[in-house]
Amino acid sequence: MGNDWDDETRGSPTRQFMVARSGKSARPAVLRQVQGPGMGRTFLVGEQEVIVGRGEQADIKVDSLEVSRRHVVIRQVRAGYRIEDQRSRNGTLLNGVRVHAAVLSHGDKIAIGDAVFEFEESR
Amino acid sequence: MDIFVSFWGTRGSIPTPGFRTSRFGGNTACLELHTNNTLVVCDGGSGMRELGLDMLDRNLDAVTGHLFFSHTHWDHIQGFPFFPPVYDPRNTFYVYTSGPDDRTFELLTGQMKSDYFPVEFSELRARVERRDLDAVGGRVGDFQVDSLALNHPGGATGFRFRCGDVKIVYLSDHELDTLLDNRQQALDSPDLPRQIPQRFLDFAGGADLLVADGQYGDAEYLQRVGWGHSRATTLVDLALQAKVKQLAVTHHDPMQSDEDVDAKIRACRRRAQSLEGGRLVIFGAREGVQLRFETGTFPRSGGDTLERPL
Repeated sequence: MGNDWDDETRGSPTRQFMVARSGKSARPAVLRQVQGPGMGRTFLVGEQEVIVGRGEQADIKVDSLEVSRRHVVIRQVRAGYRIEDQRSRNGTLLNGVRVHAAVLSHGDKIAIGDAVFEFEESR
Repeated sequence: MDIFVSFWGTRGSIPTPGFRTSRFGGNTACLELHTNNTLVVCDGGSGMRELGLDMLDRNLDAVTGHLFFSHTHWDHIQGFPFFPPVYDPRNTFYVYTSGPDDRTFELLTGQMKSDYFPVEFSELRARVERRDLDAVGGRVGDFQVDSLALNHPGGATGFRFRCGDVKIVYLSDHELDTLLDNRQQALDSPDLPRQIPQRFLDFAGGADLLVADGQYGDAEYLQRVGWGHSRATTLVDLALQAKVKQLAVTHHDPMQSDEDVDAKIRACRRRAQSLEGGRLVIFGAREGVQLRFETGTFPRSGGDTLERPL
């Protein structure tokens, strides 16, 4: 994990821990589709941003009209992997609750239209 | 206009890291509300550090933040010294108080003495000032803010944030159970509807989101009456009677594992189902979750000129 110290405060140890920027070093994770068109597929999620949707640009394509062309994006953040709805028409449900974004946790179920994915952390 | 609500700390009493709490999170109270123009933070428990680190990642140019503290118990203030944006001279933060007798600012800043912490408050690089909520007429950037006294040892304050037609209410820490109009019957017969005092129904009435202290499950509460926190199931009665749309149960007890919180929320959903068919959305507040609310009505102009886009 790399730290990017603020130059202005580099000299003072008591200040340094205040301004450290953490790197992003989450282990690769797996997204397993457990429901909907394409059920049974598994996808590895790593440092590259992943787009889930119905459109041509989607990395994980779901062939369903209930899924927006660019429905959610999953990207690595300091705390792990963050999923963010892209103002989709039908929204994104995390374990049954509509959210705009969330840091994912092992076992989470993500509903995107009629497709459901399960998130699995590497352990 | 979009309003984003982010949970950065949902644990009560003391930070509780570890495998048992990894899903709902172990950081203590911190909730963020922001629009394109206004940043509001409710409480500064250890989750405030996470918020601050995220703000660094957002690469904000300069920030004006509005800080509201329900009270000054450790789990609501001890993240403040670890909040990186207060070390940035470009930033300004207002700490809201209510009247001359409110000691929030003194107690918040008083924790930054060398006996407790290596950096003195006077060494912070950002501008951090006390501001009286009444003196600004409750107007805080894009939000109109109201407050309400809560039931907690030493006192606490709840806040209601209105922006256009969206209403978000934050009630922590708060023991609603000892204020119930049918307090004893509700303890003896938990299935009975609980009679919520009218002032709380008025305050939370019609909220799009109620974030409230529901630290205890029913059985736990019986051993902790008078400790200043509510039964989670009592929040269901409040939310239903106040016609709240969505209830986030927060301030999870440090003894509760993720599975315990799941069980607490299942009990809340069963209660909602039995009382009113379960139309109310109920969930356990969880670190890292963000909700979005869209308002169709733009608030009146005249907000704080120091605001910077987030």
